[in-house]
Amino acid sequence: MAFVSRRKFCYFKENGITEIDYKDVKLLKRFVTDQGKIMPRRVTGTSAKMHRKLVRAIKRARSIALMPYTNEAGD
Amino acid sequence: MKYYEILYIVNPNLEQDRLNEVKKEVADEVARQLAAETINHRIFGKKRLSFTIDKQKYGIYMILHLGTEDSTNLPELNTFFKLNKNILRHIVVRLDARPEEDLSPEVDTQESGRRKPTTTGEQAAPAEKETTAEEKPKAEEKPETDAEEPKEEPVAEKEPVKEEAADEKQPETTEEPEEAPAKEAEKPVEADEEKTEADS
Repeated sequence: MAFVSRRKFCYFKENGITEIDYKDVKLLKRFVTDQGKIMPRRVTGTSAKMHRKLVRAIKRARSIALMPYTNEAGD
Repeated sequence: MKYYEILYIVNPNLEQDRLNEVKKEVADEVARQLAAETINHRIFGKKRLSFTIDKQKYGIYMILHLGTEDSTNLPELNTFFKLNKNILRHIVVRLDARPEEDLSPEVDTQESGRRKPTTTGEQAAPAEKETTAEEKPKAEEKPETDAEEPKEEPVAEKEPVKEEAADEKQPETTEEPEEAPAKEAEKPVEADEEKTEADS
């Protein structure tokens, strides 16, 4: 069986990121679906610790309109 | 010393003068309530809001870094932000460490660029002298783009999600939207398994 060597990994651990800035929308967008929902950990492979920080950052970004709460148009 | 970051959105329809007034108001209020040391107080950029606030589609984001010994009046400052009609929204975040002073020239070209193309022309000319200073923000941006490169895989992951989302609209697939991303992640393996089954 041709296994892909590593399907999932924690993006933040991989890149040595310890703090997530809520203003970094470009980064946060990666962890959100088209609809604006936060992607589950089982999909992104983010470590539990960083996922908590990620969630906080995304929610902060939403509150200040940097990110959408919902995106019905899916864009 | 406690350090705070305040990001607030100013009504985008204000003239540059009015914007400066608002900025001064905020600075005064911060000084009055917190006796704070202001580290940064600058335009973060004019951005499109993710959703309309007070029927505004755009907003001028202002960022304020401050350090203070006594933050007991912070709730009063919050009230000030809420009551100020020119400020659409704000967020106060406690910082762990002293924020770096941002000495790069303020990019109000970006902010006023869409409304007043003439001013951008004027501001572009003096910017030639400040090329070295202007390179700084670019250098700041660069790590972002560099960091992007290793991100390729998450991006690749994202695209199939879109495809699946499109699939969902078709009656063929009965997957629930929330399950779709999970299945997408597992799909490559499933596909492999199917292949091996076919082979055997």
